[in-house]
Amino acid sequence: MEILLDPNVLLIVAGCCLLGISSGVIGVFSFLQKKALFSDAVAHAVLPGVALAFILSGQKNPLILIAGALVSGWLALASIDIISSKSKIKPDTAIGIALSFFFGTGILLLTSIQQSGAASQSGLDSFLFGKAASMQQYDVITFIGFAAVLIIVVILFFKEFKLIIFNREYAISIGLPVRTFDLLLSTLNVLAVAIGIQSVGVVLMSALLISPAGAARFWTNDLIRMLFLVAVSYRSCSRECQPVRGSLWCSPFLWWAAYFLLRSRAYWPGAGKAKPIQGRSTGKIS
Amino acid sequence: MIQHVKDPIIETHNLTVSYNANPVLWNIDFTLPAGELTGIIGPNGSGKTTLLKSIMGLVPLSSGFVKIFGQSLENVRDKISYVPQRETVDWDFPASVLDVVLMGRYSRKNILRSLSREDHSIAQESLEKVGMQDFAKRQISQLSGGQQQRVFIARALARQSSLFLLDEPFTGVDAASEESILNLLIDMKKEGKSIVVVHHDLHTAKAYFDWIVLLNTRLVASGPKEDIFNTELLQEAYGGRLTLLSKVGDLLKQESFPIREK
Repeated sequence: MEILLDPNVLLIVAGCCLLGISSGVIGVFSFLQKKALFSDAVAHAVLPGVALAFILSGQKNPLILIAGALVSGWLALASIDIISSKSKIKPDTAIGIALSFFFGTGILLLTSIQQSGAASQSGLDSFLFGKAASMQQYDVITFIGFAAVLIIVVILFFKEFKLIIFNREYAISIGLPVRTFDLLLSTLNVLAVAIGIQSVGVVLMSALLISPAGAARFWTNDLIRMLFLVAVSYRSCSRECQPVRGSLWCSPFLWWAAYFLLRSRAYWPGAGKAKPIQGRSTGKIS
Repeated sequence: MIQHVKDPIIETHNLTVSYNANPVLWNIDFTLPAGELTGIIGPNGSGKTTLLKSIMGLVPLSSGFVKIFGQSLENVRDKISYVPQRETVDWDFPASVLDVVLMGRYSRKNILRSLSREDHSIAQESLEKVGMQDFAKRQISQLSGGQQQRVFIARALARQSSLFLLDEPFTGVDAASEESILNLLIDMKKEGKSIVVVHHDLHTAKAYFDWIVLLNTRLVASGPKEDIFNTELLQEAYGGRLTLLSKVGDLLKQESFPIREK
């Protein structure tokens, strides 16, 4: 127990909690937009941005790395958009193309950093698989700041995000600036990934975004409750496993939790999919 | 036959819309009267839904303009309720019936504000008008097609506007629901609202609407229903399909007699 009271541990736990909450909350929106894999692509695509930012600046300042991550994450989103709208390639293939291209470039840059023998490169490879314990105080404070901004923006525009995801054409018809909100939502998505990779790494970032949302959806039919569930599940699980065993354990844990919930959905009384007979049949036939 | 009206509620002039260089609507020029139940009718792919979307500014116009209440759309958005096709949304979305109806109270003016108590009571009233008040807490995926459609209409009612544009409200709905939705529309008309409905069923159109717009990429006819429902105009709109039907009818008539004649 003593290790849990160590100030360093507490700081990192606090940081991870907020990271988990913010990315979980953003993940709910991309899950509902059926864009879960977009987040995965973005998570992989931030790697070259991080590596390039390090090569150009020569330091591990989180602000610079986040800026790099934002740029390449955005480029990936834009390229998926352009590929799927300007060619016959469908979005799923476009995601695959962007993901492998950006991730490959990132690995290439990372390898060249490691071979250049830069003194301060230690810890940069933790972006690949994540290592919450490598966070320093300044990093944590920066991440907490960004995570707080994310959560506040979601609270402010919750109503509009909900409407745009549910019924886009109606949102346009009542005159909401839908394109601005689209832009905001994808920026939040990229930002959540950019600050989250420190704790779980690019490879498992999608677990931090998607699986809590997927699991929470089976627990409740209410969007607000869903967001709270995602946030709470993260706090409890990160408290147990993050500082001690490293964050890597966190993701498989959630994955299994989600899987378990999927299998047992018939037993959850309040869940939307728990009543397939009523919902499905009347919806389609009548 | 295109009949124009004075002080139209909707006026389109020279309206052309195309997807990938294929025109979906070509040179549409009509005026619709206020306070009436108008049906937009035509075969599949005739541009009915596109016409509604172009009125609401949801698709880019290749040429022409739309005027609503004699003004451009931006000035009168708050007076119009648009009810999209039921199939266009994901009914598994985590929202209750009341959540969806409350969306009718969203507008550009309350982006950063939460909904007031008045908004909630208006939403509740709208639910009562469509007879769905007992379902307020129900998850939207657990509704039948007709109930989903009524929830959509309640959301439109919550906007308290004077012009309603409904896209295929009678599709995928059982006969009882169809009747209750129709009665709802008639009640709205009695309150002085103007209603425009995209409809695909030729058989019921004459009974349901006062004013009819016949569409087949081009505008075939627009006028009071008594003037529109003649074989000539319907054949022009439905083309081959209608002639096929009448030909089959002719053949059947001929074949039922030849034995006796010999």
